[in-house]
Amino acid sequence: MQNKIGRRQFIVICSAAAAVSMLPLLPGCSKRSDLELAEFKKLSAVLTGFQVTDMDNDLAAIYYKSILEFPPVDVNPSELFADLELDTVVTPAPNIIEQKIYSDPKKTLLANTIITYWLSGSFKSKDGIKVSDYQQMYAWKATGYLIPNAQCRGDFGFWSNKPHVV
Amino acid sequence: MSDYNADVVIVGGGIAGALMALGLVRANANVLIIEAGVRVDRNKGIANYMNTPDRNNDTPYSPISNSAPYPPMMNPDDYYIQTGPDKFQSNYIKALGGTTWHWLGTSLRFVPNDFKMKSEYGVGVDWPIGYNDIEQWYYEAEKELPVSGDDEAPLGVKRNNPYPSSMIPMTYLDKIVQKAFADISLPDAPEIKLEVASTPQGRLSKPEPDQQRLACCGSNNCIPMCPVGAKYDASFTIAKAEALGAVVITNATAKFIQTDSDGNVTGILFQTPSGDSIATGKVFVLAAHAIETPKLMLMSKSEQYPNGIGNSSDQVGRNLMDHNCVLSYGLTKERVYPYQAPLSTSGVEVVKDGAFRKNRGAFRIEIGNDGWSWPVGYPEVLATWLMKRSGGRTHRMNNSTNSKNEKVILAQNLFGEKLRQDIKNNVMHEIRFAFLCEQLPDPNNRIVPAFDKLGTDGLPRPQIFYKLDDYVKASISVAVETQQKMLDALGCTEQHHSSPWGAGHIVGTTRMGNDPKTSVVDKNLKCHDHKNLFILGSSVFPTVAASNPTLTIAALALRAVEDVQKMLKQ
Repeated sequence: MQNKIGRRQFIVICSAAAAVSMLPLLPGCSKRSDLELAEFKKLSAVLTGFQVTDMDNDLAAIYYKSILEFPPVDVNPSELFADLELDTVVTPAPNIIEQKIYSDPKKTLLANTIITYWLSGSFKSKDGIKVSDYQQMYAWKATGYLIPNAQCRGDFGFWSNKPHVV
Repeated sequence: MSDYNADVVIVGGGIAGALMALGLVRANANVLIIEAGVRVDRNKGIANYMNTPDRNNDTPYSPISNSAPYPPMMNPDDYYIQTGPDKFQSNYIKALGGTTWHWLGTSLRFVPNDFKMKSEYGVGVDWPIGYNDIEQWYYEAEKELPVSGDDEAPLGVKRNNPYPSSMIPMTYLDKIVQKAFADISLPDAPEIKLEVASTPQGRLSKPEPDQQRLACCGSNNCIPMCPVGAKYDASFTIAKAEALGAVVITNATAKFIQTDSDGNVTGILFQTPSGDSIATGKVFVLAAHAIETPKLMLMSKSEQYPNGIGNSSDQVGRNLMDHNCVLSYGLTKERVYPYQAPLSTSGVEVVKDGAFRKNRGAFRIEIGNDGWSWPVGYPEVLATWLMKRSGGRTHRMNNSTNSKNEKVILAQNLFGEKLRQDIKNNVMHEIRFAFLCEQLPDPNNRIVPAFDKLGTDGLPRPQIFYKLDDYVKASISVAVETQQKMLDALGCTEQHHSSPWGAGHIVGTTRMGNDPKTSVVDKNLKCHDHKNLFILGSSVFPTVAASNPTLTIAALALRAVEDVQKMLKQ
């Protein structure tokens, strides 16, 4: 039976179970969840412009769980993944992303939610908007030379010189 | 009711009260400080800041306690009652250490003509003291913080001693600005060039292990809270004073000043969550900021003093002033790399004085290292806007009519590599300047207690009437013209000028002067009406000048120590 369920369908079932019924994951889902996390990271990387290797595992788990528990729209991230054919395509062309995601208001909202979580380091929880990890706000990483404020960035006076930009 | 007694009772544990306390305990006086706020734990404050999604300047100190309310940054009118045509937008906090917890650290001296506006320019009033009377005390204050500065910087003042701490280096951004401004002058005073100078700062260039303070490490978080104590705040002075025997009561709000039939102050009635107490002493010092000090004095009405304490002149609460702050910000042609230094390390100071002050207020120009975080938001806010691009950006400073080349409504959302590159390309080019514009004292601009509108502490909230005068409006007008030249010189592709905003430099509500009919305290900060009552802080400033007020607050407090000691001996 399991062999007759496609990978995408299986993910949808697992996600729906978690998001809608809030029940524990179906037996046998745990291994697929790991895969799903990797897929979520890949989707996140495509949307945010970072490399998959840049995407933190713990944060991915937090954001994905949040999106499943508090979906901004009735679209599952797996649909975006499928639309972009990310199981085979490494880097979809921007016009493909535009056509497949940003032509649909619901998918746009979901994509923007995923990006916002990564860039702002905040996510929706049962207690409201929470900070996942202040030090890992990807908006600051995107600059190529900064970490978020309130953390030491170097020795006294380093700011007098041009920074190294990644 | 509990009783406390000390030689000197100080209301307010901010920089003025702390320096007075330290000066007195060093001379073996017995000192009690009554502070409305609580002790701040730096580590908890930073953690609170980091763990709060919607961060602002109050976040490290949040939540605001019901027993010590103050105007929240995001909505000051939660505390203020405003009745004037213009909004008074500056705020402060209540905490042990006071608002120095989230000051910028700028430690400028006033220039000599700031003390004689009436005699030099025919506007405002003269101070009863001049620059030479305070020079020594400026230096004492600079040693206490300590201040790091460049002895050669063109700041418009003569120094008798070098800075106690070596200068904070200019940023890469400062140096680009310095080069770009070389040929710019003031529109109404072409002989005055915009000469960029290193700003003296209450910020460590070397660590002070005894106080657990590190040298500045460029966290760009001086406001709201320095994570390593490199930036001075008055908690360091409080700690020194306590080590020498000063007693501090926190969570204690003064609510009435008691006097005897001779007009001597005999006690301060204050409330704590566990009940009311009285602090008695020989000499009393009010150092509770330019809003709370006059409020307390005006709340202390009695049959003997129906207009409140120290108010025979009817000047208590009047002449409220601020620096009206006008921001300009743009995206520079060259990369300037903000967000990686103290929030400001340089400015333009030579523009603070000149014959133009006969007609308009002076201003100083602060060069920001903090990108667009003040007027618009941090990179995460930029990112969210870039991503959605559903309309123009939100400018906190309400300046939508004042922008040039702003990129608005694009048809597409940004995502992926383009989004990431746009974040990078915007942030690296963000620049911000603040102009602190001088206003004149106006007795109609005032704070009074709103006896019928109580705060969460059960005490009257501050009711404020505030109106901008033509003098400051003329200053703002020249400021915007100057900003245009500056942004053009930097090749800014997108340019904005904000509406006037509060600088947090609340000044002038218990003015000093020689004449008891027109002022509240004398030149030694002793209240004209009560010989054992002193008032410290920016409330005693007769005029606001164009420099940040903190170093002058500190210098005046240290200068007053000797007179309080003399009073004690009497």
